[in-house]
Amino acid sequence: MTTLICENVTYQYEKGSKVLEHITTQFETGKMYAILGASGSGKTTLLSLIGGLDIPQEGKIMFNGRDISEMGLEYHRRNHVSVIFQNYNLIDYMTPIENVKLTAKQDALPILKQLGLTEDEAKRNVMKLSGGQQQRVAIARTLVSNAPVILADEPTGNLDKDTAAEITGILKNCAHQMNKCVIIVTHSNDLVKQADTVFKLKKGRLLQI
Amino acid sequence: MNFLKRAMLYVTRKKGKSIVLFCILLIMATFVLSGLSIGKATKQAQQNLRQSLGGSFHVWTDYTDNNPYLHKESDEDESGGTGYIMYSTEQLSSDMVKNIRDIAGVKYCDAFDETLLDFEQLSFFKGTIPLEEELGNSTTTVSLWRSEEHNLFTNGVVKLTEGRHITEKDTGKAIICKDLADKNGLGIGDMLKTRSMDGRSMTLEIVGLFTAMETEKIGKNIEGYNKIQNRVFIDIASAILIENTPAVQGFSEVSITINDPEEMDEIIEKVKKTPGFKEDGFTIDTENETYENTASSLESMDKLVIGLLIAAILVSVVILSLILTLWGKSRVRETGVFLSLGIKKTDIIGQYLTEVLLIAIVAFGISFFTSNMVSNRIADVLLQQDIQNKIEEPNDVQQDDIVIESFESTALGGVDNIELSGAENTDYLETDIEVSVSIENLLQLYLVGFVIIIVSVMISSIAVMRLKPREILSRMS
Ligand SMILES: Nc1ncnc2c1ncn2[C@@H]1O[C@H](COP(=O)(O)OP(=O)(O)OP(=O)(O)O)[C@@H](O)[C@H]1O
Ligand SMILES: [Mg+2]
Repeated sequence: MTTLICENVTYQYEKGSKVLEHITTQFETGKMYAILGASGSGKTTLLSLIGGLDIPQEGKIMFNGRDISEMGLEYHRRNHVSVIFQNYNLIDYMTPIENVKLTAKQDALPILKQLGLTEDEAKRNVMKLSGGQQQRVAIARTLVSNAPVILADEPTGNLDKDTAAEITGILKNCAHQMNKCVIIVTHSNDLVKQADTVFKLKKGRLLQI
Repeated sequence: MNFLKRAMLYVTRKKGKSIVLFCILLIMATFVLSGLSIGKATKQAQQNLRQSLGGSFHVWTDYTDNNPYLHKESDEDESGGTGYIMYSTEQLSSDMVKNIRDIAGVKYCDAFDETLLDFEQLSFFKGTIPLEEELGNSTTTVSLWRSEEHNLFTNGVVKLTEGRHITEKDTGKAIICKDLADKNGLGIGDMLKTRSMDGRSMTLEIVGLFTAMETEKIGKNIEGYNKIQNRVFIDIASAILIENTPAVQGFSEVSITINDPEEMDEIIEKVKKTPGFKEDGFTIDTENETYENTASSLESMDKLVIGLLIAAILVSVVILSLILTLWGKSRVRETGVFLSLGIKKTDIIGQYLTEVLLIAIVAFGISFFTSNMVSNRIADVLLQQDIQNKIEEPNDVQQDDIVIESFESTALGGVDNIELSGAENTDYLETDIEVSVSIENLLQLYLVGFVIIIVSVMISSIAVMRLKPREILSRMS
């Protein structure tokens, strides 16, 4: 049930002050988490550690009871987590279907349709889609990866209010209906309202609101 | 989706970049392929040149004091004056010539001696210089090893038109000019009576008739006995018999023509080791100048081509690396996405490499045609710059140097009045370098080209290799 645990995590960049200090918390499947914080407070840094992109100087991150640095960060990245970025990060010379199929073997069209894209849109170059549509493609790509943890860094940052609400809805579905553990870094109050648990990162500490 | 599929998508969807890359690769390949084919053509030309020029060297009796077998005898001639006969007891026998002829790479052995013999029954063609009475029935008589390999025959000055050649196995045989035979009502099988200057006589059978293909120029002053139509070829055994002197016991000179001038030194060493050959009794002179002049200019062209090729390769690597690095910078985001999706770095670089290779396969193929057009022009320019000013007129050696040994030497002064050299020297210039791009060159290009591409992609991928996972999220956001 419990998926991700941060245990006493401390992190600092080389020649920098500590960004994260003794953070201990846990993330569960079936829930959507929102992490708030001022710019530069270390939100992206925390997401990087959870996503297995780096190792904390102190403490450890456990996935299903196992230290991720022991099982191998690459393995963790490939199998347990999937990341959604603020600027969607789609491959610009591919169609939505091809973007989704980058790592997946299964058929991409049903999931794209499920997220609200038409067949025509799914076969167009991704650069010819709206921001909201692009973010849906990014989410679809995350979903087909079958990773139990979805990490999103300001996924609605570039979208208008309505579209942001739709995307938030989709992410919420991912948590509640598909039983994923969704962790979202955001500035959006609307998104925060939808989250099951809200954290605030301040001066290196993670506080639950 | 594997990296091949991704590479295909990139190449087909990013048409602008693909076309730019295609052009770069095409130009690069054209230069490399031209270099390769010109290089090959130069090698071929060198070989052709060697084959067509051949080479020759001369083995002759050493008439200096270095020769321990040299004899000097004073000789009283009939007018009462004294002269010298100088001869070496070491002379080249027919067997020794045969040994030399049998060395691999030897094309002809021209072993002969010349003397004046008297044929009193024959009526000769008159020369333009009046002769003393006693020389009226004499003619230059060439005693030889194999007439077939004598320079007058091999150079095409004369041609055997009837009968057969004289070989080293013959005794008492002769070949005369068809015109002379007609003039005297003679034919194959008829006998000729000859007499040496000191009175020994002998009968020779005519076994062959030759036709003179070139004659002396009209108005040229020439003694009757030097006219080519009056020439008589006989076997060496007969000459030894009729001369009956220790001075004539074999050949004092042999000219050896070889197929490949590059083997010259090797063959000369073998000559020195043939049985019975006394090295200190002979001088060996090589005539290789024409070959060396041309060969050296071709060699320098070879170096030029190799230099060009290396330059082309280096420039290609630099340009390709720069462009790919430039493009790679704009692909950091893409790389980050791949990495965040758990795609391995090697897999990503594999894709970038495949993209270039895919375009290269097409570009290299097309360069087969472009370089066929370009390489001939390049070769022409290189050749013109190089060969023209390098070839000097080769010196004409080998004319009057030989004829000291016998008493008639003064009379025989300019033995060979037919000029052959000179015209020949310019011929090889027309052995123009014919460049054609072969499949073999194309395969070499693929090999060289792929190495260039791999190196360039590796260089341009350094940025990707260095990308730390930690930077992905912060760079992306
Ligand atoms: N590669 C790095 N090297 C050194 N310092 C870094 C590096 N990346 C981030 N930092 C610093 O670490 C701190 C936290 O950065 P982080 O990106 O986690 O902030 P953030 O909360 O995501 O901010 P934002 O809301 O602006 O995205 C900042 O002070 C930043 O300057
Ligand atoms: Mg951030």
